[in-house]
Amino acid sequence: MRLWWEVARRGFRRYATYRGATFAGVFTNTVFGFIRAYVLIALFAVAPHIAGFHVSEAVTYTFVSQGMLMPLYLWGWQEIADTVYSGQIATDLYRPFDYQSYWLAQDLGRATYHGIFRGVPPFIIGAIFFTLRVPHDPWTWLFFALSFYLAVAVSFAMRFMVNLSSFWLLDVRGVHGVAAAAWTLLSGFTIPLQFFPLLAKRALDVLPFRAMFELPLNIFLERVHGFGVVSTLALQLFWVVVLLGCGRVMLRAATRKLVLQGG
Amino acid sequence: MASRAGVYRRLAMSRVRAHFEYRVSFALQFIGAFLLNFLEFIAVLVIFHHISFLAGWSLPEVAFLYGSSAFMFKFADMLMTNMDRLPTIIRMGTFDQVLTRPLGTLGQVMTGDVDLRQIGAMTQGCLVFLYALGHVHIEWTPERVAVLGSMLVSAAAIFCGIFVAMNSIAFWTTDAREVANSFTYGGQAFTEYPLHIFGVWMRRLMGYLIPLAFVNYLPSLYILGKGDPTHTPVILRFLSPVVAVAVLAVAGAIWRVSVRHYRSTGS
Repeated sequence: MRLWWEVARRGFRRYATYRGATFAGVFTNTVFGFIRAYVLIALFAVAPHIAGFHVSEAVTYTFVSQGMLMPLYLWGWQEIADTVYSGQIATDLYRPFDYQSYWLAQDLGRATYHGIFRGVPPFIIGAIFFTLRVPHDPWTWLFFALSFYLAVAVSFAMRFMVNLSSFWLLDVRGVHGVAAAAWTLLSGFTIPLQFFPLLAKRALDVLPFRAMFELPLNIFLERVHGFGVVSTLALQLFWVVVLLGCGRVMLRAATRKLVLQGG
Repeated sequence: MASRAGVYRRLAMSRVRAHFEYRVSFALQFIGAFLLNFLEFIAVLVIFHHISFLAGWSLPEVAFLYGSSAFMFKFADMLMTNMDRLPTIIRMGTFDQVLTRPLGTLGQVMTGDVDLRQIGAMTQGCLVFLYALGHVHIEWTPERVAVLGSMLVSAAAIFCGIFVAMNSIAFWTTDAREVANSFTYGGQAFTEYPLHIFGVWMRRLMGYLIPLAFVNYLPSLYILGKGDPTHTPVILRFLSPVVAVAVLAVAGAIWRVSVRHYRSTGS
């Protein structure tokens, strides 16, 4: 446990060194937040009640999801793939700790940094210019924090698998591009999933992607209460376990391939 | 001059061929670029699932903006592929080599990589634009055709100018380059919707200081015969080509000043 804590701390510190990049990223996330907020405001000016959302909730959704974008790291993470191409992974796999857990701990540390420094500022700036809905119940913050980390773990589990596809593909960017395109839409980042036509929403409900944006946002906007919060977190946890499990199966297959090549 | 164009073409083609080396990945990336843009357009469709008019504009009219923006932005993005790598080029000291060669610095950076995947995204933007053209009500006149043509060319030029001007930041500070994304990729998102849905300060900054209003909104008012809730002078609807030339001139100047400011990282 102590090992994972240290790894997570290193993940945090590693990203803390790039101050200029953090500032620039906050700026960009905020600009996109403004653009998306104005689009939703124009939408709600014509249709004031969509899926039980009030316009201030829709705008809040925008800035919270914009803030979660970097912590969830949907674009361009291919560190593991790079170690596959360089051959470094062969030694990494022989280290005396669990490979997947190591990267997960690292990623949770990174997400903590990005959550604080890339996630909170766009929300505060958004709150200055727009009317945002802050949770009424103080406990919601705690549940949201839990939900946030589960969302990061779901995102990590998917990125882990995309990275491992580098064992079979010479260039992982293609798979990553297609995956990232699907993630952003199907998770409810681009637009809340509740706004989709009913049939599409039903289909999306059985997929894991909603665990990244829709479910944490349901908690933040207090659209779920009491047992609803527990079942939301449980559903996220379910996807974390399933997806990490898939990643382990894939890792085992990849390792066998590695031995074959290395032998 | 002709031989210089030939050199640039050969440089660019060598990059293009390099991309074809990884065929499966290239195909997937091509599809990914197409999908990513297509999925973005689904957001527009979802919005119009609930309403018939967004701030007075119908789905085909918004698609007219969306399509022209995506189409021309992705074209500019393809020409400027290598701008993303500019901070790396500077940090690694590779820009020194660029300076020693008897070719323009901007041309060399641009031809350093040409990402044909963007054709996938361009195709998608083009399809949305064609859909819009088929469904909007336009009283075609020679003037409208001319404004439409000049709008597309100007849009590509303005986007290219923004890419060059904003990425010049890399010569001053290499880790704050993401700010450029706000105006390049952000510029695409901004021009996908009618300008008047945005707040007044956003309109002033993104629409006129960074003259994104001239990319498609202002000429579209004329082409589609729409009223302007922001009451801008009618003459502005025809000034996109002038603004485009000005943007390119300013961008070129910013690039030159920035290159002069460049200090090698040494070693």
